[in-house]
Amino acid sequence: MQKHFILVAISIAFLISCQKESNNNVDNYIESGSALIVNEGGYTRNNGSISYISRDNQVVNNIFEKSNNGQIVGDVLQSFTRVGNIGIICANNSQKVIFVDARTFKQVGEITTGTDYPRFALGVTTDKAYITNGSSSGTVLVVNMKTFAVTKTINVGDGPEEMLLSNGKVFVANSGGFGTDNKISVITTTTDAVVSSITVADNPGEMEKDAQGYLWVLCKGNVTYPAPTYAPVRLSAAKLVRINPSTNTIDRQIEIIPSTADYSAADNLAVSGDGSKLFVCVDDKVYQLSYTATALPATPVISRLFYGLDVHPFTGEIWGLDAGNFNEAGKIIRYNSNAQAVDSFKVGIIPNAVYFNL
Amino acid sequence: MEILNNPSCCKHTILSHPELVEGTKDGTELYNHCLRLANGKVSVKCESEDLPEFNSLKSALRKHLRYMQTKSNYILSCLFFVLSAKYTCAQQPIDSVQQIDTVKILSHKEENGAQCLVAVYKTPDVTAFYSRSDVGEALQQFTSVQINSYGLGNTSSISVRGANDDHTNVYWNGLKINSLTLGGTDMSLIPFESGDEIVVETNNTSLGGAVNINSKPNWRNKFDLKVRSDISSFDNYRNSLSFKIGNSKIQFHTTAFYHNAKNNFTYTDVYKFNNPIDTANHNALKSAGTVNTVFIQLKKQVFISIGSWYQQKDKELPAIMGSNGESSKFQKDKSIRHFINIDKTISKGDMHLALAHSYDEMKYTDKRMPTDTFLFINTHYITNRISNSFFINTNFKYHLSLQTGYFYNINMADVKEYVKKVTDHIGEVFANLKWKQEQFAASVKITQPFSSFKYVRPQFFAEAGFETKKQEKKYAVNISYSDKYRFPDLNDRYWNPGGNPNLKPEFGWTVNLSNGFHTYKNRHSFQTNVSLYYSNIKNNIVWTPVTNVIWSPKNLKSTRLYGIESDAIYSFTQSDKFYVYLKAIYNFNRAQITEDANNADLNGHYLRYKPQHTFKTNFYIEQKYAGIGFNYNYTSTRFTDEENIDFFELKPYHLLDVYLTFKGTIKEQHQLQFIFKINNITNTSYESVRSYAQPQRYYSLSFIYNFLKLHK
Repeated sequence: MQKHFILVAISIAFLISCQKESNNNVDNYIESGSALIVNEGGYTRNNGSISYISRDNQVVNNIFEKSNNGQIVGDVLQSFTRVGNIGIICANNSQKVIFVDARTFKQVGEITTGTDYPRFALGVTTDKAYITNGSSSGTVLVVNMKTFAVTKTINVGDGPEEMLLSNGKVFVANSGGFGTDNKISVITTTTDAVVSSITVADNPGEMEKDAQGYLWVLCKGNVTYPAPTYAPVRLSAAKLVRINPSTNTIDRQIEIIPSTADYSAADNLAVSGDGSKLFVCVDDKVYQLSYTATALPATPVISRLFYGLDVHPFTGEIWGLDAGNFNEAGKIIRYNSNAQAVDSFKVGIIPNAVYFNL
Repeated sequence: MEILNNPSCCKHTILSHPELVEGTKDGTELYNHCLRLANGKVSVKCESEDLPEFNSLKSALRKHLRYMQTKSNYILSCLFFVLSAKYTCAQQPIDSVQQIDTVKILSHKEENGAQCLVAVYKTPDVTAFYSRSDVGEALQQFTSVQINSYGLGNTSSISVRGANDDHTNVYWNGLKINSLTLGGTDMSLIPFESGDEIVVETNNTSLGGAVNINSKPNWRNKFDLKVRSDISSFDNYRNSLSFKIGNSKIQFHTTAFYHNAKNNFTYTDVYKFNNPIDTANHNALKSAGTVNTVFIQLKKQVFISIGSWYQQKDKELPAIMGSNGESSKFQKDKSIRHFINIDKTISKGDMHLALAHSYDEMKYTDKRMPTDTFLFINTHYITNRISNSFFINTNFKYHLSLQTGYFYNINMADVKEYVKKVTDHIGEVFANLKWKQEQFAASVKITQPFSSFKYVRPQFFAEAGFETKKQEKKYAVNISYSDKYRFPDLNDRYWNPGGNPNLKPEFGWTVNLSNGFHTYKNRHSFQTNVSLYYSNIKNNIVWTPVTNVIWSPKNLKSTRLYGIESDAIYSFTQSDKFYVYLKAIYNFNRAQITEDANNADLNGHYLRYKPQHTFKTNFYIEQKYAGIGFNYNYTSTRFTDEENIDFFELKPYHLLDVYLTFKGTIKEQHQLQFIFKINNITNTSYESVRSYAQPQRYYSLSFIYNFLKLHK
């Protein structure tokens, strides 16, 4: 009897340990349809992390730490981008850009100079990437993806954030950083030089490309915090601006928050895989727009506060990122394409973005 | 410097002034006194700190200020004394475990107006060997209190028995000095010169415990001059001058200090790839201050003490580890505090009246990038606190006594984020009935808190104790129950946007069982204390986001804290020839979330920065003119997030400081002492607060000159 008990106990222990191991045993983080979650972590706490969600919904947290002998990835992770088999992580309060082998997540390189406020990366070719940097006067760093060296620095507007590549040109949204800007810088990838500038609305930060190839820019509008209350006050409207990338001209503007409105936030622009639907968070609600829309719908599809939002390119699921109380693990809440909640996953601390492996 | 161990009061006290314990009675008697008359319970324990929790920049500022430090202007001039004297060494009297006057502490604490006698055991100047600049360092080294430090010279917070820093009240001569805006106390802003003794206690209505810093006279003192100069690695210079003059009717104490440090130490940056050696830049500090006290003993049993404390500190705040940029954060703190306390013996007891005021100012600026031309954060807090308390203690027949009284605080703040200047009124009235016999003691206390904004139900406190004595052996046991509460701090209620005027007070209860044993024979002394405690705290205030840019505090959590505190002290004294002192402290503490209204997954998780195990040892041996000692500190794993993610936990660490002392006298009244200390001799890389570097091995040299003349 005692022997049986011991055998059962050993078997249970073995099964438990196997279950744990299966979560950690991912050796390829680029499986098509899988996702990488950027968890920015608490400010000054050095607890940013990357979570991996496989196509069959296995969640592995802290994949960088697991692949690098416990080495911490950094403080306030801003973004992750993959260029070929190299992953680029921007850690803005650590003031560094980390390069990893995207399959194993082992660190292979790092840039720590000229990166005082790194934001987003964009693969121009498999050998070249752009990285936006700066909270005021901004730059775009041109990086050799073989040597991980900065080969050129391009001056752009203030607080450059997201970039999009279209027709051999890279469009850079100058968000104003901690101030105000209202321009999109256009860089030609052949010479890595700014060739044009498009004036949009105040504080453009996020961009998506729709089914017709138009660029949609989320301009959050200018918001200040004046004395004596320091409560936020909106000075200009928040808009969705559509740009024709061939002509570098504005094609359409949708006002989503009027300048006269009581303060509310516009955030998190996302697009469906086929480019036919746009999603944007306004005043803690998620709105869905057709790429042909000319106005913000009256009714949101989801009424919930999200810290980040994205749409699965294959399934059309809406992934809402809930940062909770910003001390605990955040959650991914998945909604089907009809905006019905399906399930959720616990990830790292303060999840802010999703990168889907194509 | 004295260590006060009050086994029955369960108070761990550090006395910075040996004269307080001179010319006393037998230590055994003192101990008995203490056992009979003490009404407290306690000890000290682990701290942690609420680390900044931010999301948006506004929230970041709001929470970050809790742990920031200050930089200020210097009004006091630098005091640097280079003394050279030809001296002849003589045997230095060592009067360890020598007994002297009992020190009667009339507690001015707002939640406890009770009297308590504290026994004093004189030891060599053990704590002085710790190259200290602030009270936090000494508490961390010699008591079970847990101090979390943001690095050498930087902000540090206190935790007693696993409670948060804003759950621990800090008093200076009865005046509460916790931040009105943030609730906690930056222990690095309390210089060692601020008082003559420090008493840590847990048996009061504050959720965590209380630290009392008190000024005490020595009525035998005629003239006492002390000059101290400390030089440490990293261009760290600290100088202090104090003198005390008076007679049996009046005593005047004044002390001034100046501290200047670059603190540009090197450390292993574990947050950078390949863990390179880095230097802590932008970490300089300058601080200066003066503390003055007058004690007057009038006829008709009236004792008056009047004091003032002025201090400024300017501080650069370093970048966190892992960062590749330079910091441009500065903090300036300025404090002006006054008190007047009057104690009078009346026919059947005594009475106490106190009036105090404190002014605190804090400026915090951050350009974010050194090259920026604008201030990214620019915060300026000004707060005033006016405090008044009164109690009267009356003795009755049948060993009964009744203490009744009140305390009343007016709290004012001028903070631009509050929109308008704010004023709060808070206080308590209480009645405490005590019964004391030869071996038994018990008390019941009812307190009714009041405030201008929220009602709190009456608070109940009860305790019972027993002590027995057989020749040189004594044993004491005490059990108590205490209700506890805390009003929300001003930021919680008035911060705009997000402040929540409808917050409820945090409240809870604690049960405590303490045991003390002491034996004293043939110059050998051994004592040990063990306390078990269990606390439950509800309505914990947590800031959470209500939109992507606005956060607001809510009563969201319940927590429990339980554990064991224990210590043992052995000492041996052979007249003035040989002395040995050994103290060991072990604490076990569990601080857990029992309920989180927003996230049930957190139930059972450990609170941040609360080590389960801490072990500390102080050892010193001295023969004639020279001595050697060490301080050892072990702190176990601490989680840094409520999710208890192991990748982000702080690893356990062992710290060992070793020191040598040399001393002598010139014509008996002039005493000279040199201390050479190697801090962190094992060159351990560790963190007290996540992301903030701590120095590895470094050295300090201290020189102390003391001229002491006593009245016969």
